[in-house]
Amino acid sequence: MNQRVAITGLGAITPLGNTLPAFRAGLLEGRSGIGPLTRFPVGALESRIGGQCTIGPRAHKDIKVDFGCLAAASAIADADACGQSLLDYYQAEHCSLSLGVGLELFAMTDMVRYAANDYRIPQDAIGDPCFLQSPGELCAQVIMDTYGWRSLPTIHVSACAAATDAIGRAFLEIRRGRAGMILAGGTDSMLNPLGLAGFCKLQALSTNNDDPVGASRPFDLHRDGFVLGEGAGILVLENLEAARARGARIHGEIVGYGNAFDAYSVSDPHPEGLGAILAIDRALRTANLAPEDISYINAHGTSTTKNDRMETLAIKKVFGEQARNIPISSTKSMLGHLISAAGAVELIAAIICGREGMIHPTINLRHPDPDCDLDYVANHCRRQRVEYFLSNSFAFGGQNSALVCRLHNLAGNNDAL
Amino acid sequence: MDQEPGRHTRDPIVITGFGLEVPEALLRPAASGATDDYSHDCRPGEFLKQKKTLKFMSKQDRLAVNAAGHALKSAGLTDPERLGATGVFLTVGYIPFDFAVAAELCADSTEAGRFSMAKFTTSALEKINPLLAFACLPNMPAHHIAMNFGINGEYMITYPDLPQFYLTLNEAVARLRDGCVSRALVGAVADQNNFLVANHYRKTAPALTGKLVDAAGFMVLEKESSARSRNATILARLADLSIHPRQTSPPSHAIDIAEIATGPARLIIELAAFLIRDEPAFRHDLKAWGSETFSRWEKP
Repeated sequence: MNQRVAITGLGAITPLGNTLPAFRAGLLEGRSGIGPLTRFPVGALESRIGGQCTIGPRAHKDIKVDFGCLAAASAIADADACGQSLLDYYQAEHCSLSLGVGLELFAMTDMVRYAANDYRIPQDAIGDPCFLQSPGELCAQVIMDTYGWRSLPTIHVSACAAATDAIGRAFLEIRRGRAGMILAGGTDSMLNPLGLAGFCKLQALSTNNDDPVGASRPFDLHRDGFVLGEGAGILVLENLEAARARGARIHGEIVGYGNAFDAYSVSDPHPEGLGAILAIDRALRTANLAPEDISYINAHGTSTTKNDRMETLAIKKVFGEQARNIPISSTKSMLGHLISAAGAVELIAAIICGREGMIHPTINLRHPDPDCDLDYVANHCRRQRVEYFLSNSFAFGGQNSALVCRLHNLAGNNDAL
Repeated sequence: MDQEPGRHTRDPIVITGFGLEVPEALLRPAASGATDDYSHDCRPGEFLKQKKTLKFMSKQDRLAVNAAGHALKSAGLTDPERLGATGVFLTVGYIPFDFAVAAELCADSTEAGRFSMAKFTTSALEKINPLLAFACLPNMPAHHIAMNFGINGEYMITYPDLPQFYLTLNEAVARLRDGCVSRALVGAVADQNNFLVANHYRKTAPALTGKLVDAAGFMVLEKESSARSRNATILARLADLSIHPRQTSPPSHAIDIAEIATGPARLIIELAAFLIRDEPAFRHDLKAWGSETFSRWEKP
């Protein structure tokens, strides 16, 4: 028999803040976390804006390692807000991690030193495991070591769908009864010289540098590309019965997951949204839900013409006439695109707003694209009870992933399921 | 946490297709006079739906498409109509980067012995082929497989080594059992003979210098009942698969050096050797990240 999967802890490092109250306040106010990039000089790059996170002193050269570790610690602390401590309740061998990660950090500053030393590792860098590149699994290693967990973490690299796939895989493992508790989510930062330059070279980014706050405008006719963001989102997922037994506060429940390939183009989404449709359909089937059960969609909503139109088409195809009645919003309008962390942070955004009976807006939607003619909760948050919602993530390269989550009005109750 | 509950005798998971792309040096015994050149590349022309997509493909993309194509072909699954519900479960190695490209980038980004963002974003960036970005992304081998073979099924893409491949194999088996996929194309690929991956191992496992192998391996897995219903040849049966945390040992990320040299494709390479040996069964063990992992395979 399938086990039920509870969400009992949330941790997010975002351009709108690193605590759940700050993040929620920013989302519901419709505040943008996008600004001029200040972490490094951007030289002559055409895009000079991004959604940067602010954290304390860095412990790792690759900032996404710090983001992931901080989000994991926040999620565990949040899971410990009620009931027996998570780390006391579960034995180390019953704890694991499912993490979506971005590209290895390739440090151009190291490369220059390497070249100057006849392409040998400089003496003072010998023993530095992160010289030139920081391995992508480093964040998982640090988290597993921090908590003394003894199992194999799963490291997902399906690009912009990685965090959603990481959460989906954790959901499946707990649902099958093969795991008790898994930390799941994603961490990423492409806000480094090579990362930003790569996206600029692909002409994928907004160059609306004079108006950073208005630059990410999903579903708007005047959009000119996406804005890079960074951050991490981690969720504590537990077997529902175990979560109840330890007296945990339950934020919601993951009930469905599906993914699919476009099998279409290296750079463009399938024009009819084939992979997106299949992923959403599979997520609904896993959840044993009909399209009319969904009362909100957190869109992938990148602010690129091709994605926004494709996603709109896919939603219409799956939901039919009902599509016009479902509120849809894009968290990326406020945070930018968090790439391998996007799915987790956006899921958390939907949960923390939904638990307050609210849906966050899609900001900067002033001139709707006629091909994007659904209800995108333009510019202002909306009070609405959400029971089941869908969260979409679609990757460059044609991997499409979707989660279905169940929310409850948990005010004043630590277990409303 | 036993991640795959042991033996399933009622409808076992079987291998019906196999494809490898490995260097000659790995296939010949050392005494045959073969060199120790473990670099390898291929042209997947036979399997490309559109030849022009070759320009988007990196070495690991080419290796992956060829190995996957051979696996599907040997399983008798060349008709795209039959591949829709096939899942792709793939582990990719560390991100490769060509020395020549990196050196040029570096030379064009250096000013007074230091990295200059101003120079990088003018002279260096002008020379970068935009397609370079595609070659670096770890999800691209999966994309090229899906696109060339018309696969819209479910997927899981992990990174960077053999322990992750075991988790990926485990998930493929679970989704076959759950009925989410009718067949699973399970594989691994790593382009390791480039300066960036070599640099990684120089830092973490210096003994491997000169021993890194470029390899891709794929197998087609399905339930035995499915294989029999389409009269497919059954090459081997998965008798057992277990991923189990050790109770007492401290966490350890280290894995045997021999497990690294061939990257995440090692199990598939060893399975290929087993299939041509006159042995009824094969067991592969792996200790990593504080877990004890093994798989056992039997010939029909």
